[in-house]
Amino acid sequence: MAVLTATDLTKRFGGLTAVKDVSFTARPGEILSIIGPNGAGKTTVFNLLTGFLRPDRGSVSLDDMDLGGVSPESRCRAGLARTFQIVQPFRGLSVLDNVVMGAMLRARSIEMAREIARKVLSDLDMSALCDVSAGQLPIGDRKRLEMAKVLATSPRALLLDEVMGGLIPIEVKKMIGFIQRLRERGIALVVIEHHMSAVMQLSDRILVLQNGEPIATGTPAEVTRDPVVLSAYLGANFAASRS
Amino acid sequence: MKPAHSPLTGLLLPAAGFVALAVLPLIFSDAFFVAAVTLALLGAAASLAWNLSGGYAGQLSLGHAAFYGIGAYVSTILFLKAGISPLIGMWLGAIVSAALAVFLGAITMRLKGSFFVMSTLAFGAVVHISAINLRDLTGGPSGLAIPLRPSPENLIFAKKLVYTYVALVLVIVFYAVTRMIAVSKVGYALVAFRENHQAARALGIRTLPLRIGVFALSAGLISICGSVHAQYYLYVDPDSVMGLNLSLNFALMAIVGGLGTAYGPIVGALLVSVVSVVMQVYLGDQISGLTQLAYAAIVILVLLAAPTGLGPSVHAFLKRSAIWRS
Ligand SMILES: Nc1ncnc2c1ncn2[C@@H]1O[C@H](COP(=O)(O)OP(=O)(O)O)[C@@H](O)[C@H]1O
Ligand SMILES: [Mg+2]
Repeated sequence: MAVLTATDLTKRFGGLTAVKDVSFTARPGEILSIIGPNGAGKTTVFNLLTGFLRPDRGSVSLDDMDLGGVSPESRCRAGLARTFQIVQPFRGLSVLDNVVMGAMLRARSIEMAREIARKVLSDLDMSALCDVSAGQLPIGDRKRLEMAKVLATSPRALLLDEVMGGLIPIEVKKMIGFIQRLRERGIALVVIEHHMSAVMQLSDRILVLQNGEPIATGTPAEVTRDPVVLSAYLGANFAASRS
Repeated sequence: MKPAHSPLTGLLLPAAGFVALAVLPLIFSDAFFVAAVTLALLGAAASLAWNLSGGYAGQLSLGHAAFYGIGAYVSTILFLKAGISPLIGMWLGAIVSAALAVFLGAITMRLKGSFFVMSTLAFGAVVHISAINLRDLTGGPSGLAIPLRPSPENLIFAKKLVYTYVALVLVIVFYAVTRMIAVSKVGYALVAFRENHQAARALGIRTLPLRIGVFALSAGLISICGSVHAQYYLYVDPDSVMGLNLSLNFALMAIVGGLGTAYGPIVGALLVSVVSVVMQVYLGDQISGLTQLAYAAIVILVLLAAPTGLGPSVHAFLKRSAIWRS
């Protein structure tokens, strides 16, 4: 039972093909990681999945619904949510109100949304920050707020774009634990991450992109054994770090 | 936007403010003072209406005088030509304004920032010019005079003080409407769009119908102010009910007092009125343009000192002081 399916996604920006023939499925309770060097087209894939960009070719479906031409807001309502690599807080609002904005989707009233938001913030150990203005948060907390906002929409499929970027090691560890709990809840997760040890710990499957093209896909063990990947992306450093 | 109001700022303070506004004209019953308070309150009501769309939704409109003027003309024309009471006419004006706002909004609400502002400017100008040229209907540039036939049914009162309270009722009702919207899902969605429309979309917040809806509500409410304006002056002409300066004033009062807050337009309207009255008294009309210049200078000074508007800045200052907390 696949939740999210991408088929042959292709996107060109002028002469540059940012994403070429990318296909995958994300299943409930599974984590698919997308890795690849900067500029490989990972974020563009998320933009195509969530409808912020229109693919030149290919399609996206959620369960059996084809999402062609469906707006980002409708995709979120259908259960497909994403975080932004460059976090997008509502700066002028409190942390709680930021999360309320997400929680409204599944709540009949603001009071109900506030309850949901408090719950999500407490799951993320952010209860103490409820009244802090989002614009004043340090980067680590902003990343967690970005997660909290989308989680409040109760997604079935969740796309996380470098939510560990800029976090200190202890925060990374917490975030890994948290993402594992999301998997246990049965959410289909697609994770873009540069943090290799996190990717190895979390992923059920990994998709490797280079210059917009998928060059390998498989379990962490398979991908790290793949010679194409080793030479193209992970390089000698990673091979060394494993020994 | 505060998630929850303390009882003090939530209910007591506004109530005290409204009581003060209600009592003041009784104590200082001088005709000049009563007129100044009445116009300040009518301005506050109009700016409150403007602020729903311009402040909460962040859809900065410089065309709202068109809706104000439509309110003034529709109720007046219906009264003069068909003998329909302005109490009914003002609702018909509000419906016309709201319908036009839906039409305009459906076309322009997809435009970004300054393009939307330009489209409202153009709309305001088109309606203004139409009022000047549709002579048979509007009396052209010389306008329409309403005969003085005092009766509550005509919304015409010999005692000008009555208008003060009509305007105060509008202020209180519009304030309540604003507060109700601000704490609702609609209000939150509008703020989300205003603060970061990309983030709002990613959270499944569909704002286009809401923004059009609140634009229509805003237009309808300000249209009612226009109808009251006509009955107060017993006279309507294009420049005084549809001029661009009127649109600028609606926006200015909200911005000075605190954009996107419920009390901002009231604070702003009172301040702007005090300034203009003081200037009329001390500068008179002797050097034309001087009043406007001083006025502009004061607005700039206020905004330099309190960039988020007077209300929020004072509020933040009070919050920082210990007295407020205890
Ligand atoms: N909106 C856009 N317009 C033009 N080029 C873009 C746009 N978005 C991304 N790109 C380009 O597409 C390529 C892939 O970018 P991106 O998907 O952000 O990579 P990644 O997330 O893997 O680092 C980059 O070369 C980037 O400059
Ligand atoms: Mg990226």
